[in-house]
Amino acid sequence: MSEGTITTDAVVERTKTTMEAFERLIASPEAERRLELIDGEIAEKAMPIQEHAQIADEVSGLIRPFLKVHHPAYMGAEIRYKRLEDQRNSLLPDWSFQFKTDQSIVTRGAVPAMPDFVLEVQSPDDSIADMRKKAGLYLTLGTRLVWLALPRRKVILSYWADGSEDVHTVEDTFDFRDLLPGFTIAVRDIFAF
Amino acid sequence: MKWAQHTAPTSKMSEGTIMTDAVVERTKTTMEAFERLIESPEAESRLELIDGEVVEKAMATQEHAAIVHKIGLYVGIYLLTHPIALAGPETRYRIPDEPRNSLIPDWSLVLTEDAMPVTRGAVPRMPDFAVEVMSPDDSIARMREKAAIYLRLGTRLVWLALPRQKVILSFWADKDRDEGVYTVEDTFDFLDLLPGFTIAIRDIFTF
Repeated sequence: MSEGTITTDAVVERTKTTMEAFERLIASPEAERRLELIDGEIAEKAMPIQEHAQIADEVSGLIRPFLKVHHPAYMGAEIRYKRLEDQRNSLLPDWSFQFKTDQSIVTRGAVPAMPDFVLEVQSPDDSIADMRKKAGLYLTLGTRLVWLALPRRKVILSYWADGSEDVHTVEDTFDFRDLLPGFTIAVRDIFAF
Repeated sequence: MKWAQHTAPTSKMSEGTIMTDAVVERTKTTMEAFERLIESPEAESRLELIDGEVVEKAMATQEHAAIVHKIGLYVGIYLLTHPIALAGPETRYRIPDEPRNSLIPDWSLVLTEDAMPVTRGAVPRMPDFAVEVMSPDDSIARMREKAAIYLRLGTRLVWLALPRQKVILSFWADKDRDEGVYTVEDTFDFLDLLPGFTIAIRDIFTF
C-alpha cells in the first residue's frame, strides 16, 4: 500500500501514513473500525470487552461529580483529539476530560487539542510497553496526567507531565494533586464490580 | 538503589581529580577516574557508575534489606537443588570493554557452569537477573532507566521491587515478553531463566 491508497482491510496492521490519507480513511463510509494515528502509524483500537468498558465507566462515575461541581470540563469515552498543527497524531483515549476554556464544545471532527486527563485500559492483546509509549506521547502533546489501568492486576499506572510516575494498587488512594486539588480516588473503587 | 538528586558544581572537579565529598551528587566522569575513586581509602560509600555518572547507593533501610533477604532466600532454596548460578547482594558488575557502567544491583544472579566466583574486583559481565529495591528517595522513572541499561548490557531479567505498593515490575530482555506488573495476588514465573521456579509475590513482602 502507498500513501493515499490505504484500504480498510489493511489497517489491522500498523501502517505508516499521512494525516491527509488517514482523515480520508476515517471519513469513508466503510471505515467502521476505531482507528488512531499514533506517531504517524495507523493503529486500530480493540473492541472493548465488558470489563474494559466497566472500568472506563467506573472512572467516569468517580470523577464526573467532582468536575461538575468544581472544574467545568468536557468529558467522555473515545473522544477524538488532534492538535491542529500535529500531522502525526489523532488519538482516541478510552476516557478523557478536557477543562473548559474559551473553546466551545466541538460539534464536528476532532477536538483541536489534547485532553488534560487520559485513561487507557489494557485490553488482552495490549502490551504494557506499548501503552507506556502512548502515555509518553500524550504527555509530550500536552496532556497533564495519563492513567493506564491494568484490569488483571487491578493496578493503575500513573504518568504526570512533570515526568513523575507511580504504581497504585487496590490498597492505595490516588491524589490528583494540582490537576484536581482536593480530589482523591480509592483505587479499589475502580475495580470493584 | 538511590539516585542522588543534585547537580555537582563542575568547578569542583575535573576528570581524574574527582573528590569524595562531591560524589554524593551525580557527576560525569571516566571509568579510569571512577576506578581510582572506589579504590581510594577514603571512599567509604557504595558508588556506581551509571551511564557515565557517579551515583551513590543509599544505605539500605530495614525494609529494603528484608526484601532483598527474602528474594535471596527463595531463589537460594531453588539454587540448592539446582546449582546453576552464583547469587548474592551488592555484587559489582563491569563489562571490561564498556567504559560507562559499573553497577551494583541490590541483589543479582549469574548463571554459571563452573561455579567459580570472582575473587577480586568486579564480575566482568552483567548479571543474568538483577533486582533493585526502591528507596524512599528513588523515582520509578530513574529506576526504569537503570533497568534499561542492564538489559542493554546483557541482563536477561530485571526486577524493580516497590515496597510501598508491594509490587514487582519486571523487564525481560526478550522483546516478546512484555513488561510485567505483579501484585501480592500474583505469582512470578522465571520461565527459562530458572526453569520450574516460581515466587508468590506476597511472600517477598510478608515480614
